Amino acid sequence: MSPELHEFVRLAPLGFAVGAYGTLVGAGGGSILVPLLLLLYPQESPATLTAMSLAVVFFNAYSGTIAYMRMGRIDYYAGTVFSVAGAPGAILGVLLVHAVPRGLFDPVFGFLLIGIGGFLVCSPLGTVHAGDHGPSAVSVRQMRIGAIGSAYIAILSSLLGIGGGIIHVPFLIRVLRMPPHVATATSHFVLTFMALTATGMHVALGEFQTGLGRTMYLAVGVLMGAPLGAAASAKVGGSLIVRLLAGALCLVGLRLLARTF
Amino acid sequence: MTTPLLILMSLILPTAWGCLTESVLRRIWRREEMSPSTKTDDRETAVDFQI
Repeated sequence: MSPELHEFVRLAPLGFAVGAYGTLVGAGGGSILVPLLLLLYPQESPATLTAMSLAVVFFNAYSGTIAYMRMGRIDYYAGTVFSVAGAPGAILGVLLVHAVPRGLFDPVFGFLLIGIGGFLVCSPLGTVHAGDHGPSAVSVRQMRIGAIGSAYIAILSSLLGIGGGIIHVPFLIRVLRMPPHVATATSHFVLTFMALTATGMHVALGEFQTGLGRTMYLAVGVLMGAPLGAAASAKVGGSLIVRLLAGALCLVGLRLLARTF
Repeated sequence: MTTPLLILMSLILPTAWGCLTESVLRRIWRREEMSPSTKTDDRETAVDFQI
C-alpha cells in the first residue's frame, strides 16, 4: 500500500466520523479533530495541525451554511457584523500560533478540552430547543457586545484551530439571547468566513506545503459525514450524545495533559 | 512581528474593531429587511394588509 493510500485510508474515515458526529451534536468538528490530530501527529507543529483543522472546518461550515441558507435560519445582519469583526482576530490567531511551541500548546488545549467537556456536561447544546428564549430582538448594545465577543472568539478559535462553534453558539444564545436555531445557523455562517480567513492566512504563510494531501483526505470524509450527521440529528436525542462527547473530550484532554506532565 | 506585540494587539484590537464594525455596518445595513427575527413582523404586516 502506497503512503498516500495509507494516509487516505486512515484519515478519510476519521474525517467522516468527525463530520457526522460534529454535525450531529451541533458543536462543529474542530474541537473533535484537533485533539485527534494532536494524538496522531505528535511531531507536527501546532501551526500545521491547526491549519489542517481550520481548512476542514471551513468545508464543514460551508456545507452547513448552504443547508441553513435554504432553511432561512441565518441572521445575515448579525452574521455579517460578526464575520467582519472576527476577520482580524482570525489572522491574529494564525500569527500567534506560530509563536506557540508544541510543549505549551498541548497542555493549554488539554485544559480547554476539560473546560469544554465540563461545560457540555452541565449544559449540553443538543438539549436546547428552539424558542426557549423568545424571538431574536438583538439591541444595538447587544450587537456591539456580540461583535467584540466574536472578535475575541476568532482569535481563540484560530489560535487553537477549533473553528469556534462550540464557544460561539453558547455565546449567541446566552449573551445575545438569540433563538438557538438562529444562533446555530448564524454561527455556521460566521465560522465559514473566519475559517476561510484563517486558512487563507495559513496558505499565505506556506503551512500547506506538507499538509495539503492530508487536509483533502480529511475534507472528503467530512463532506460525506456531515449530511449523515444532519439527517441523524433530527432522529436522535441530543442530551446523551453531547454528554458522551463531553466525556470523550475530557478523556482526550487528560491524555494530552498526562503526555505533557 | 514580535510575540508581545501580537499579544497586545490581541487584547486591544478586538474591542476597538468590534465597536467600529458594529457602528459602521449598522449605518449601511437596513437590518429590518434582512433579519429572520423580523420575518414574524413581516407576516403580521401581510395579515394586517389582507384584513
